[in-house]
Amino acid sequence: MDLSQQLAILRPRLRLIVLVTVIAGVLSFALASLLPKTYESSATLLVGQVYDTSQPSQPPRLNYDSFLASEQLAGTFAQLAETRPFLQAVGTKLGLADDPTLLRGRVDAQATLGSLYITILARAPDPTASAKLANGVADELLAEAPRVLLGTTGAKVDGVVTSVDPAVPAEAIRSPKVSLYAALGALTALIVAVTTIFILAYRDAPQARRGPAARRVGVPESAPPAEAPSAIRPTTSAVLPALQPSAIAASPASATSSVIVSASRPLLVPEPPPGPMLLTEVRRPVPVTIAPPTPPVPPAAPALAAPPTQVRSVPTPPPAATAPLVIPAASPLPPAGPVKPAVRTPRGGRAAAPVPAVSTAKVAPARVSPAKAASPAKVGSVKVAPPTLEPAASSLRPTAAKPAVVAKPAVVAKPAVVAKPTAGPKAPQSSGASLQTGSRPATRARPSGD
Amino acid sequence: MAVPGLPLAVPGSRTSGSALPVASLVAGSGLGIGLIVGLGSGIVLLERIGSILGIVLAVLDPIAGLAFAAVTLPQREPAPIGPIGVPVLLSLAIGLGVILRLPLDRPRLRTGRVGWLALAYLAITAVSVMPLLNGLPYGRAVSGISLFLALASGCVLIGSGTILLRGRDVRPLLGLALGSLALAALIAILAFIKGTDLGRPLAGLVSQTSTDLRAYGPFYNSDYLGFAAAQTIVLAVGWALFDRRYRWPVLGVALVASIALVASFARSGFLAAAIGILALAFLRSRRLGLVVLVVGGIAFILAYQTLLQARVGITYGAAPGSALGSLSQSDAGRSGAALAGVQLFLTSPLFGVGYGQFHYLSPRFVGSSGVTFPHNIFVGILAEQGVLGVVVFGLLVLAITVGLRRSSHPLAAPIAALGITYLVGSLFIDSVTTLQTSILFWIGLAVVLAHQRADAPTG
Repeated sequence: MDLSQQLAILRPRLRLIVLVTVIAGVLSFALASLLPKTYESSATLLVGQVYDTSQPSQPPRLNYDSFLASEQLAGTFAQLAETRPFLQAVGTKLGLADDPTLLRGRVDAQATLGSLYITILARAPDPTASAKLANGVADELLAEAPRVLLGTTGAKVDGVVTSVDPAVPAEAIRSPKVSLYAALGALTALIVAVTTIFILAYRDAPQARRGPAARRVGVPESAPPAEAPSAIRPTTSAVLPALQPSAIAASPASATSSVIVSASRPLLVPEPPPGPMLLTEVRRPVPVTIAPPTPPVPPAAPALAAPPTQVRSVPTPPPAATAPLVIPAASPLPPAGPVKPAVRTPRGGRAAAPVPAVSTAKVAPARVSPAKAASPAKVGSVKVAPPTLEPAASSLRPTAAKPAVVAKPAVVAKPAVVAKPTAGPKAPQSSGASLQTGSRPATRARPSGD
Repeated sequence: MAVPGLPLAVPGSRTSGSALPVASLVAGSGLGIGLIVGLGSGIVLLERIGSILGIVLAVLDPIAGLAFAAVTLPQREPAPIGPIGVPVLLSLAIGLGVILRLPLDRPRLRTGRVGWLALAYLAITAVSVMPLLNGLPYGRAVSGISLFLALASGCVLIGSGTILLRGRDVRPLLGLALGSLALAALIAILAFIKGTDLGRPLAGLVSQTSTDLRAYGPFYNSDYLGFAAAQTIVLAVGWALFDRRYRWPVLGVALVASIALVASFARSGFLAAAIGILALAFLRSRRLGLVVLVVGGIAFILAYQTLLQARVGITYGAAPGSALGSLSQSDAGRSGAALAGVQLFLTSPLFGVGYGQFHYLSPRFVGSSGVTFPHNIFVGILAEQGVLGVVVFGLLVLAITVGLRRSSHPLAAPIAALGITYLVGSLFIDSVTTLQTSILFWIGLAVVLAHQRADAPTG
């Protein structure tokens, strides 16, 4: 159930979410309470005359031209009501000390498209003052409108603007709506907190760091036929801390298995493929660098957002003289300390040293110290048995009674073809994985194409 | 199908070409139908509950939210929840739902050129509508903000769809949108024939914003109906042409939409549909394109005058001479608005006069025509956002065009024709801020961007 998984992501941080939400709500409430209270009153005016009553013998007829003209006039008068000279005149009549610019901030005149009404909204710190201001603007508009239309001709025009609904003292506070602000603040904080948690969880999820090649491993129809998934039955789980592969695909004939090495995360292997497991690349080359051995450091408890598993390895022979990588299953091997992330991929062609490119490369025997062998690893929300890798100098071999992945060189149907090493950083452009061993500093891991 | 060993621990994780979850589609579309019934019956409580449930569903299951949006957005807009309209809230809810599913689905997020340009365009628009920066009075500031929200929600829908629909069979979703548009077209036809009082449960679906005597159905006015019908026709015909599955149902949708287009008498809709069909024909084969061009040209010459007379007869009910005069007045108003846009642009060429401000400032230039809205998104962008907006928007259109060319989806060609239809229609309508008439193209765009070829660097 997806909802339960989502809740599982939230659960460890539930207190934080509640805290953030409550703090935001309280802060919003406090800030909104401090804001000055404003009351709003409205007056409504009608502009123009739309019925043709020129022929008394006939019933009034709608004059569309008059309607359009009145609609335009309503907009014009609404704009007039927000001009500085107009508001100055209103302020003078009402005896207000406010500057016209300040008054403009307190008065809104709105003429809706398709309507002949003008709504005048006035805001003030007390209800009576707001009604007084709205009515003052309405009265001034009633007086000024004919003058605007006729200029100084002195002609009298009646019924251009009529008052429909004078303003009355407001009963409710217009702003601040304290409870609404508090709720909105809390809701915003809740959404931001939850969103942040999920984005961070996504960022720490293993698949998010993988490139398109790895992403497509689970897509049989887009992957090469030889890399189609095999009928591997899940039996046991194991973590591969050594090379931190991000995906595995095994051949259907169980002849070869493929490991994509690109990310710095332990791999959850529900069940080892029956055939030998070879380091390779499915679609796009991902160079791999195995750093020289480093002193062991104390193990750290892995978690969803924990730092990547570390890998150490010894310098290895050239790829041609390789033995298949043996990935052991959970076994009672003694922990040999944590490993450092030495498996890194350069971005694009930034590799400083030549990288040998192989189409299907066998990994040289390497001494790999298991990471966090003593404590159970946790990938996502799945608990995984502690990785137990043999710290032997020659190769990784399963010692448990039930090996997870056992190398069977003899059953490799199609021997790995080791490509000629290509010089320069463009080596990863070949179709195979690239492994580099030696003392070259590891480069930044970044899936190509990002 | 996931490979054992992969950290694809989530059951039901999607794979390329996989079907959309039936449960999500059923839930979303079922709730959408419920909302439509509520809208049609005029039961406000049902309408409100349907809207809220749809938004909640979109957060919990964004694919269901997309289905809900595909079903409900082409219909009349429900009453807003608070100050914000339901389509905007729904889009944002889908976006939130996508974020909440990120750790579970673990999709690879690629912003791409389209994404960056869309973000850039949204950013300059957001800066333009910020009250602190533009210093506009309340009403004008709110107008800009509401238009920005509509624009942003469209972008959120496209972005969410791009993530959700990657590797999915999107035909059910497109089918839901087409079906809902067909329903809207049907309502427009019925209301045109029988009058707007259709009785329950349809009467509430007819828009109350228009008093037009032409057909408009659930849309703001007849031009919007024509625009939506043109898009529906082009996508449905393209679907039948390029992907033969479900050919007859989609052709039925195209037929209903064609009748609605005729009843709307919207010249912009006719033009958009004609160019879209022509584009479809040329995308299919050059010979077919030439045939459609010739036949369509002859049909246009024969039918246009008749159609025009019918339209003015219905709209004005007066003598043809004065009616045609009124029609030419309407055209002059649009031309005046376009010229006003250029004049507004000259007043502030670099950054424009501010997003959503055309209507407030154009009366200075439009004269007596009374047409104060741009009725053309390009003129609007030129006036409101200046050279900066035109450049970014132009680049965005260009990037979308490249994305259309690089799409691997079988319906990419029909969606490209739909895009052409949309652009042509946008010459006469303020389209991008209207989700009701844009939802089909938004979904189509998401489909195209979600199905970029593997070698395409960006979408």
